[in-house]
Amino acid sequence: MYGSEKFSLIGYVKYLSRYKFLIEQLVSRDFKTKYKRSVLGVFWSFLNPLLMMCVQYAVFSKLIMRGGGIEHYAMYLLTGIVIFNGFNDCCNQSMRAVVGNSSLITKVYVPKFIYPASKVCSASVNMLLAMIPLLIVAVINKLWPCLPWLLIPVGLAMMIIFTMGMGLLLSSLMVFFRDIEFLWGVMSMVWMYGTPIIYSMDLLPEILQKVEIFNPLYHYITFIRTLVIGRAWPDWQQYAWCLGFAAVMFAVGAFVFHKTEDKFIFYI
Amino acid sequence: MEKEMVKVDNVSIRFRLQTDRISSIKETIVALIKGKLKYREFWALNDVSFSVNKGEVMGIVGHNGAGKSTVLKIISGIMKPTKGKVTLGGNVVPMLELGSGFDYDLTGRENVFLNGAILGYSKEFLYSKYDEILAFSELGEFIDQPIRNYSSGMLMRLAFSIATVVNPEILICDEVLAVGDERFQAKSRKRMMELMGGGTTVLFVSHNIDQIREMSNRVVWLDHGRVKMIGEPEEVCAAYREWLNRPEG
Repeated sequence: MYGSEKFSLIGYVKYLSRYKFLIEQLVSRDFKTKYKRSVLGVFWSFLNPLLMMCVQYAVFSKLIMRGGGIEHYAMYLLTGIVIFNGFNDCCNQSMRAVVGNSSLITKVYVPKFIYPASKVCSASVNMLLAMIPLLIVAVINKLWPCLPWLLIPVGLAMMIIFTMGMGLLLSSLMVFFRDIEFLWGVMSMVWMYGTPIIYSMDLLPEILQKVEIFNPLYHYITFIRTLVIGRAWPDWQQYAWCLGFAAVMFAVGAFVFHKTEDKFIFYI
Repeated sequence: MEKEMVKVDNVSIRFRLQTDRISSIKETIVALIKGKLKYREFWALNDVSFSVNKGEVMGIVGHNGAGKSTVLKIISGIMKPTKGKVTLGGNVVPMLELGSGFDYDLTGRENVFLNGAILGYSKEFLYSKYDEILAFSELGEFIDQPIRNYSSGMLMRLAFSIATVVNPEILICDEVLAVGDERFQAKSRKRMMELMGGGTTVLFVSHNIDQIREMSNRVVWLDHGRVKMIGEPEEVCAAYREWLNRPEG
């Protein structure tokens, strides 16, 4: 019977487990088609962020910022880049997930959130793969592995939940307003330069430093930086911010998606 | 009394037709300000009710745009009715358009798993039935080729083989019985008959009235979103045919 599904978090999690095989297949499809006919294949998932890091490191540390007095500037920059790119990748892919699968949505019944969810999963796998070269660079910079590193997955998981919320929100908005695609391109650029990725917080005027508190990505990047570069345990406030943003964003995204999903079919 | 597998209860669905298709924020805001965001309402289905018992084969006939495909989409859960409800007594396998979940860059083998997952099959089931699917599709060694190199006949054979490997409790077909060459058509028809004989409840749409009369136990005739007639195949098909051949005007 349709029309009686009540909105609940537990319901969504149960759904997820029932459709695990489908998500697995969709994620593996993304990887297979992405690297089909490329010689290095999945290896690009490691190589790409590494090469990107080299370029950005060269540009920002040698030409423009000269480090700005930040300790371990290379690692500071690289952590920010990996996290932000992971986030941006997730958003871009999940945004098109519903519109791009219109031929399927009109022919087969599958809970629609599967499409953005599978895109967030594949982008997250990519981000996890990019963490490997990051940690290698850390070791090269004599930041030896330590116990707090074990919390890296926790930090990433909180960020992925946040991103899932963004993905659900963007993918459903995209169905009704195709302008979102172009708006988001500008927004994500503003977001990137507004986040302390290449510069440090001290460089910002005091007012902006206060605003930065409301930037979720600032918290996620700081969380990972504390673990990898600071080699320390984050304090409770950092957990609170990261968890809080994840919960709120996920709730908002899931709510909007749930409210609008029945209308998708008339607009795609 | 036989168990009701599909029960369609006073189902209506409303489509909103916009005078112009608005899909950008600017246009919406402009339209809202001007007070022009008006829709023309169109009821694709209007108070449709019928039920299908276990093991029954229900044919659906009607002119183009009568709402046949919409009914099937609502029963498969793809669309939600604006009013009324659908109650199902088992799992549904929709065959609305064969191979709609195919990815043309993947091989036939990879598509078996992708398409199977989309249709809701479990991993274990697919692994155990893989050989059967391959054998039925008659693709042989081509199964490891990317399917963009397939002919349309090969694609349809593969899609049909994946879709019918299950013994669904409720099978929903929209004009899918014409697959491949004549020999494969005979084979697929035989497979459909097997499914129907095996206690599967079937709902199917076809423009081929002879096929409907031959295969179904009961027929629904939809006309402009309403049930015009429901009953024995001979009777309904005769009335429908007469309506089709009515003198114009």
